[in-house]
Amino acid sequence: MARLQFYVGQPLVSVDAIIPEYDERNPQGGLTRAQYEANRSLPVLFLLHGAFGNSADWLRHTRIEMFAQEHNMAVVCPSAQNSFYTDWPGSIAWEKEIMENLWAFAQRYLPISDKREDCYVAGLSMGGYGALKFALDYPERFCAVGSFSGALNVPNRYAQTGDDSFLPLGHIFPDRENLSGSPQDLYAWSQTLARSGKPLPKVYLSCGTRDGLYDANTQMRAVLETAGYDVTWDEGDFEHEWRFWDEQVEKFLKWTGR
Amino acid sequence: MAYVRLTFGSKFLRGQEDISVFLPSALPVAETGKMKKIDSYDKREKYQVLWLMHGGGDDHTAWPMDAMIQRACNTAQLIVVMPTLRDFVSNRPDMDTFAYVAKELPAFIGRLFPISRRREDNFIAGLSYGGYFSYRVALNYPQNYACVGSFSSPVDVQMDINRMHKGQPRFDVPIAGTDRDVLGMAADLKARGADIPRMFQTVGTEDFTWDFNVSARNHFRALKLDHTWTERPGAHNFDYWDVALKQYLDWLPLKRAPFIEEGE
Repeated sequence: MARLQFYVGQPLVSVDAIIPEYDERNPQGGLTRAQYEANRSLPVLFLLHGAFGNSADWLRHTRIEMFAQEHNMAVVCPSAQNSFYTDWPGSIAWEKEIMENLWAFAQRYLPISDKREDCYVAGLSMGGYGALKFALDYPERFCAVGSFSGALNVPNRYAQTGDDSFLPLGHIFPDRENLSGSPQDLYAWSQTLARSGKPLPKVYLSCGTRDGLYDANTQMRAVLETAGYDVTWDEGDFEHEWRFWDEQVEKFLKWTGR
Repeated sequence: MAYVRLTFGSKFLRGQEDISVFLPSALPVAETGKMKKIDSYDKREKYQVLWLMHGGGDDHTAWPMDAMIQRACNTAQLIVVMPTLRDFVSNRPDMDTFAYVAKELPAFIGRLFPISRRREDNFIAGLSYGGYFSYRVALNYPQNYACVGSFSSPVDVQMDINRMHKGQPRFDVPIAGTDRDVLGMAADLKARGADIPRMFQTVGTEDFTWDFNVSARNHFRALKLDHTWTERPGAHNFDYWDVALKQYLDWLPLKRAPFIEEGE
């Protein structure tokens, strides 16, 4: 098991990563050490933090290191400030920064696979929105996506009400008039992708029943199922909280079958 | 730049160890010689690697925090690996730093990052006691390193211990005839006709390790080894080592670009 903290890129995107190692007491896939170490093409999960967070969040608040080792999954957590993982018009292109430059950097330097069947993306809250956005924008890249308590309706709510009291959104979504139905509107964008004939990622969607985002998530579940996505749903007696995400990231890893 | 702070569990050190690594954060463009942001990858490509050692009492952050080396490493297109060394002459019962650096670290870093494992692409160097340690590793495993460098180091470690560390338990170890005996191993390798790593040695004229360097230099010269010596006005500090590292990088047989090994 190795833990890595990267400081890379321009703008500087800090990254936390976990790389599993061979475990003699619990050999992955029953392999010998030599067999395991000969193949350095690990399945990889890009795991996204929520608003007001950074790349260290998943490592600080959950048992992701232990889960990553148990499921033999490399985990890469980028920092993206409060960007909503989207390209800011005329400013920082967060999605491009992470999905083009950091992707190439990670693939160049880390012992991870770039095959679709080995690549996953997931996140919590704003990171759930980001994970779904990345999976819809790069359907050839990820076989599955997880969103836990995803802040999936934020652009839609902002388009309708202009409410950005929890976080200023005007610089992220300046074209409020045309936000609904745009690629930032994941309810619409997921249907566009479903009609395109491109491969669709499998979706794992979950939310706490006491979370204010619960309805936004059940609504997304209905949209995705109607559009033909393979959706797995989970919920529990939780608010918007780390105890839920700690449980959910383990459930997600089990769900991947790794 | 791309700086990595790495943590992993070492068997030989019996604990969690931090390591600093520089990865080239940009790519050279062949036509223009300029650098561009990384936006592509080839899984077959490998990098040359510099194993870079700090001095006594320091840790893996010494080089990244004190030296102006990031751009130089990027230009050199080297992966630079900087471990923490808590013991240079293997006198601690609880950890084997020598086996860690010589055996465990290359295997671990080789699993993690795309470093070439070929001798011609592996270089080791260090400042002060880390330079002595680099010679010790390189001459015990001459098949693994093409070049070795020391900056202001007690390469003649017996003379250093006699003068500076007499009676200190952590230096109370035999040198002659052991795997700590850099001068003796150089003579043995020469006598056996072995491939000996090319040597680079530099020291400031005001440095307190001057005598331990001159003694080793004279020994290597008498053996007619491939040995480069530089000296400049300077003392035992990073003003000197900044320049020393750049000199060493200029002296190394660098490929200055990632490459695909034959047979890959």
